[in-house]
Amino acid sequence: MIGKDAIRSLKASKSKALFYCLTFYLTSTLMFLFFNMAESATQGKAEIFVTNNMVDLTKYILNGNMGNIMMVFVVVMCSIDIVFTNDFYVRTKAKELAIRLISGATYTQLLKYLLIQTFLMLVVAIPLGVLSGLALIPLINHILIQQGSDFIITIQSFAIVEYISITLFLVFWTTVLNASFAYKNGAVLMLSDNMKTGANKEKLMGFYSSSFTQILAKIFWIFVALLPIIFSNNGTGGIAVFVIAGCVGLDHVLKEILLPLFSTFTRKRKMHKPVVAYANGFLRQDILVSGITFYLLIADVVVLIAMMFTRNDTPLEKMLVWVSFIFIVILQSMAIMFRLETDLSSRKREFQILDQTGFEEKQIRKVMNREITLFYGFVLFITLFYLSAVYIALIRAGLFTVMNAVVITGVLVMALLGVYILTLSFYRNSFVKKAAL
Amino acid sequence: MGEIVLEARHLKKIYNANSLNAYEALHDINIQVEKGEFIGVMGPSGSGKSTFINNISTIDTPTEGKVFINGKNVLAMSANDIGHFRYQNLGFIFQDFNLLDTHTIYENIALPLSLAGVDPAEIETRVKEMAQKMDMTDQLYKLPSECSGGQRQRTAIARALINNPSIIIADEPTGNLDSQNSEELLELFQKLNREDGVTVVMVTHDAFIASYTSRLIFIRDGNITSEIQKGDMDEDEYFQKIVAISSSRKRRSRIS
Repeated sequence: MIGKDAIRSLKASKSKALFYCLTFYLTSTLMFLFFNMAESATQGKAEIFVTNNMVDLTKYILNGNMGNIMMVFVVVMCSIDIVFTNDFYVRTKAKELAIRLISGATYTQLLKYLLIQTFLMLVVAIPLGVLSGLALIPLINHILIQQGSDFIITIQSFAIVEYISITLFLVFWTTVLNASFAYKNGAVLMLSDNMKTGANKEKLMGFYSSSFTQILAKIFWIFVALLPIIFSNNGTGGIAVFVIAGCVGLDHVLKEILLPLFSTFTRKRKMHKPVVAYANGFLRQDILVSGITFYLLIADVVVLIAMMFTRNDTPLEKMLVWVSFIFIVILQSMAIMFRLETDLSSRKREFQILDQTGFEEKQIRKVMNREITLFYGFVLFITLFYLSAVYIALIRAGLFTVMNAVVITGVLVMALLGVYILTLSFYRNSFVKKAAL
Repeated sequence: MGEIVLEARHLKKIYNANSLNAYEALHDINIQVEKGEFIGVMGPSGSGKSTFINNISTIDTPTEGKVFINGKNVLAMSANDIGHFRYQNLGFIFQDFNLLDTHTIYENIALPLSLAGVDPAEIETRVKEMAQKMDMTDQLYKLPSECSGGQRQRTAIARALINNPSIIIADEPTGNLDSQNSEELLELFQKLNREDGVTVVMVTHDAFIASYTSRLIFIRDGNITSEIQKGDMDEDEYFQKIVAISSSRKRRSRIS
């Protein structure tokens, strides 16, 4: 009975299930390729663990143990993506879970209901991802040979086992946590939409405060946020560490300075333009709820680029980092999209209110377009802002060309453009027709 | 007879029309509302109260019939014109407040003014004045989730009144409020109605709340079954009459 209901529920939310499968498909492809590279006993790890000349601490970390660091890094990033995707899917099922709870479902039944759905999707996504990975290996090997590599990637059966174990482990535990959350908080919370948007909503600073102590704190956080830029001329080694610190500073700068100023600006200058004023309000919420995902994108991109250019890589190592970079940028962009869509999926009522108050349908479309365009534009701008610090550092060190910057920026723009189109389509299809009366 | 601000003629609402599940929720409703009236709409659950109020106020479109608000046939308007018409003429208040959870109290109150393209400085002045009237000044830059139920309903009222609408449409506005906040809200409606001449159409199922109105319409199974005018009756007498009619209706519905 639970199995039949789970399959019916899966069919009823095809588009969300498709997004879910797509993420797992891409994650599977990346992790399969990555583990094959790293696990290729002689061609992979042996080459990666070659000791290099150490210039500074970061280079030591990056060069001395690059295989391990990369392994941990890629696994962590993919895990975060898996968690966000699973979280998105389960939270959009809040109402269904609430009805089951009201009808007397036990924790085990709830868990079984969710696990059947998530594992059915994995059964589709993982084999497809592995097949794509298998198809890509000859292509990568061809490029490696052209680059003069002495080593090529060989298929490692252990790579599949490693990937599947990690994925199953993560999906299982994320689902368990979500089911526990649902069970603990009960039906009322889930029916009130809080399950979808996250129980702990960020508190909004709707105005700019300018008391003396707060100004001091703001100056401090601006300094921390600018650390990567300020220290970009001190060589490339420390840039990754500074960028991570910069993200912490950025979080404070956004919440305590930029968003309150943005609210004040909208209130004082843009209230007579309803599309702008209310799109800005939605945008503020999007930035608040999605912050963590784009900080991760910034950190990923900067760390991977620092890895790419701070040492004399062999072709296989370069390939490893490039493959990781491209997939991580895609996956992290999707994580941003999933986090955002989790919040957007509870906006139906908000658009109905706008419609009831007198917004025209075309104005509602404009609000959505503006909100999503500005959101991804902001993510791109802020990522490029920090990336520019790395570009400057690498150019000064003579390790970087304009072409490198163009390719890296291009990958980033394409990934964000892809999720921008997907988000906008999800947003419009979900709400405009339903919101309009 | 005073000026008619709202009129419905032969209003019919059929859900799922042209299908096997077609359901007629309103049958040939006719009503006239004069300027400055405080109308209550009562009826049991599922009687068609909300359908009625939604169909006479542009929120929903009737299947048949005509609706005139301030002399204009709203059903002949385009979707865009209805939008403009709403924020210029009508103020809506709902049981669940219908606030934008992602926007501040200020932005919620300012919504109709923003749609009307009012200058930001004037919006600020009017929102602050309204917030002061509603005792919401300290909450202006908070999100609705940071406010109490009473504060949220006051925000919804502030939003409904900010553009000085000629008609207020309220669907169970006290449904989520405690008795003190409910009484405050009804006194406010009465004040607006008596002092500013605002017309109020309010759905309720509570006889005490209905006693604040000047005319009460009873709906059952999609028909207007009876009406009471407060006229010269005092509040207690009016309340007793409402209770008598609603309890007899309840008994009747139990028998049937």
